[in-house]
Amino acid sequence: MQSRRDFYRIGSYMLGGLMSFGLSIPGVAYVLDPLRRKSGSGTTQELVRLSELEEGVPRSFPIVDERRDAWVKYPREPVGTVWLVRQPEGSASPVVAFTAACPHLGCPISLAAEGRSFTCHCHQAKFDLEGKPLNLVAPRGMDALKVELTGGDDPGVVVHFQRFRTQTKEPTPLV
Amino acid sequence: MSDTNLVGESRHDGAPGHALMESAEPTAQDVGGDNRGSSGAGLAAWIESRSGLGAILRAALNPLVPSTARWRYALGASLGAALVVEAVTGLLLMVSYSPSTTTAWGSTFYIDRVLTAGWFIRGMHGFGAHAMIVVAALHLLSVVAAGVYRAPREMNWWLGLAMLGMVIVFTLSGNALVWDQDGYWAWNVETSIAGGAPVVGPLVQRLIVGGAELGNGALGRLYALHVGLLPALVLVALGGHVALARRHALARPDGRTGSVEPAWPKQVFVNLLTSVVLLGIVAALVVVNHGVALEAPADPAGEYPARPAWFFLWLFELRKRFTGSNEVIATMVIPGAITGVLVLLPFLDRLFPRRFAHFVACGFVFAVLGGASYLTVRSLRADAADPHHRETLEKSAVARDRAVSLARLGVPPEGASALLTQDPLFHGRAVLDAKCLGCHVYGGQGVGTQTAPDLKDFGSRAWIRGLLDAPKSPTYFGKVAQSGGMARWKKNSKLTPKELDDVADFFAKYVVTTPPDLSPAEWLALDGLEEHPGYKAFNKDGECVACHTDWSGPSDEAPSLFGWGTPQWITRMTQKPGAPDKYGYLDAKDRMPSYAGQLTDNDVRTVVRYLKNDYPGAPVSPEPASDR
Repeated sequence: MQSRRDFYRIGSYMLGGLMSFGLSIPGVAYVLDPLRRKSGSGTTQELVRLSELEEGVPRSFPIVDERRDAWVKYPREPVGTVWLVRQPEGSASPVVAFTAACPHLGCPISLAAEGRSFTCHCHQAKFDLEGKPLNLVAPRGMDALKVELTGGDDPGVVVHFQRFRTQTKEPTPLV
Repeated sequence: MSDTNLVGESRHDGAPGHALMESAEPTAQDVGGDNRGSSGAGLAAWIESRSGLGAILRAALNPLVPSTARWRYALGASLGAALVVEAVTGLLLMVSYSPSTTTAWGSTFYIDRVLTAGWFIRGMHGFGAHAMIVVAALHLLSVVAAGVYRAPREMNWWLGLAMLGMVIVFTLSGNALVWDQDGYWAWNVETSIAGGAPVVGPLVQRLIVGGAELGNGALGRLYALHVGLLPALVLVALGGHVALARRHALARPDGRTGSVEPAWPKQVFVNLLTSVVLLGIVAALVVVNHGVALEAPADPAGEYPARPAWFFLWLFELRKRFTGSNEVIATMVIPGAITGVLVLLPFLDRLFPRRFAHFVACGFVFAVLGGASYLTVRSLRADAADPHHRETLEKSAVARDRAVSLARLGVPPEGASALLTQDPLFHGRAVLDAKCLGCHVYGGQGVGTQTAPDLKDFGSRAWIRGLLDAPKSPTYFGKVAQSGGMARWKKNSKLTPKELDDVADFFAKYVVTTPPDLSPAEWLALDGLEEHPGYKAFNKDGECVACHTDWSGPSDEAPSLFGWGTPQWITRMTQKPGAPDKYGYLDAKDRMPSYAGQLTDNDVRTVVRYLKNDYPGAPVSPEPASDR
């Protein structure tokens, strides 16, 4: 009699466990799906002719690309912004490019009123024209992007746009 | 759990929990609020003294049940388990589903084909719902057979019937939320049936649909119904059903009570076993079918062999016997009468002697089920034997497969319906078949008598090269009235095959690639154009230039070849084929008719891309454009 009761008891626990696992394992895998997905490695784009950039005058340009959002594919439209600053003659690179995404919490960085530094309106992070932080709001400087020039006498400025994690000391690309 | 059998008094109105409570007299420790003990037992005692949770759970989960009525309880319990599965899978689906006409299909596709285990979650949700209807029918049968719809259990019977109705509405509304062809057309028919009800029909239809036509209004209402109102109602009804079942658990018609025992562990084990078997069958169905079907996105203009859910196929078949104004008999009167009899079943006892009433009740239920099964089989066999139905089923399978393969590349923001309407293969080819292949052929296939060239790979280097070799072939101008010009040229042409290769290369490199914003003079000024050997061969005395003259305008013998084969050239052919720079030099009766006004921009775009093999899954062009 007792062994039959035991059978029912243990059987109930096992069946209950089977039902719970049978549903919760796929359920948890389903909910954790975003951890498996890669979000893309960025895009390369020619933004402007070098001759149109003035030394020391930062200019912003939109990055235009197709975008996947879950099941939707959006046609080419602005997906990000880049700041270009023409460097003086003799610098290592004629142009430096920064992503306009603030390394603090991701808000868009804009030009300060007097045009000689960058500022972020969300939490007042400030950066100089070389991207170095001027206060302690952001954990690091503005994230620089790789820049190349096309050939010829009127080269174009090509930028490798990508996104970075916020709130880290070192720039970490988002994948 | 105590091992002894806690019987207490046997009372007609049950209250089985009462007996158990007598053993849990509050002790000083419970009342006093003990802060001692971090061990498990100490924690349990702490929770018990603060909330009484243990006693509540014991009373809720361990009622007294008759020792003999096993399987009827198990059927009901497995319905409860299935409902929990529906709720959990439903919540998971809500994480990713989006209820609008532009996003419903895309988000369902995403769940079904992209998200990890999404097909399994959605499959359990869909097959689980259908399984619930089967088990609910079995539960109803067993209740009728055991006669436990009678006093004092009438209210419980009605609650059960109400829940069966809710499960059916759950299934119908859930199917529509996918907004695929199947769900859309089924909901269209179902709301139209509701609209046919006397007096209130049109008003009810308008409210359910949220407007004049199925769209975002209907989807919003469906979604609120499916995830909000119905779950709340079912929860209340289920709570009442279980409470009443417990209350009447030990009541028997003869007033006596048989032996009883706590539900744990034997009845609970039987319940769990039945639930696991049921859910296991559902899971097996899900795995074998790899989830629930997903048809092509809803297309209000398209043709689709809509059929109701399997459990309504018998009504679908029944309606074939009642046409015209009699149709309401099949859609409203008969289902209404069956529902009415089921609702009034508990009162049969007052009309007839007990046993006869029970016999009538059982006979009625079995007759309805038997008749419905027979009609369902008839309906399935009628569809299987109908060639037109099979044909539309095949066409919708083609549409579905194409929509799914295109969706993997991304659904456009306008919504899933644009997947097929903007697809050159699906829509462009359909336009070609409907409008062009009466005169043209494609790959040798046409619809009428061929009086125009073969459009397959039109504009490719191979098409051009073939034309320069054999213009009289039916592929080119052999069947076209008044178009012997190329044949006459060919007879007298002195161009070598190498020069003809050069001409074809020239067309592939410069002509077919002409940008739409270039004038003829700007085009002629392109780098390397005038030095190309093909250009030189074209301009040789007596060759192409003799009839096609220069590139800037019409001649009276041949169409202008400026931008020949470009999308803009083809578009202009559909709109103004009789223009002077096209085939205006032909007699009016021999010109291609204009399709201006008959083709939308989308029609023309998709046809052009189809002809140029510019779509996902296109065959590789026979000879890629040459750089020579």
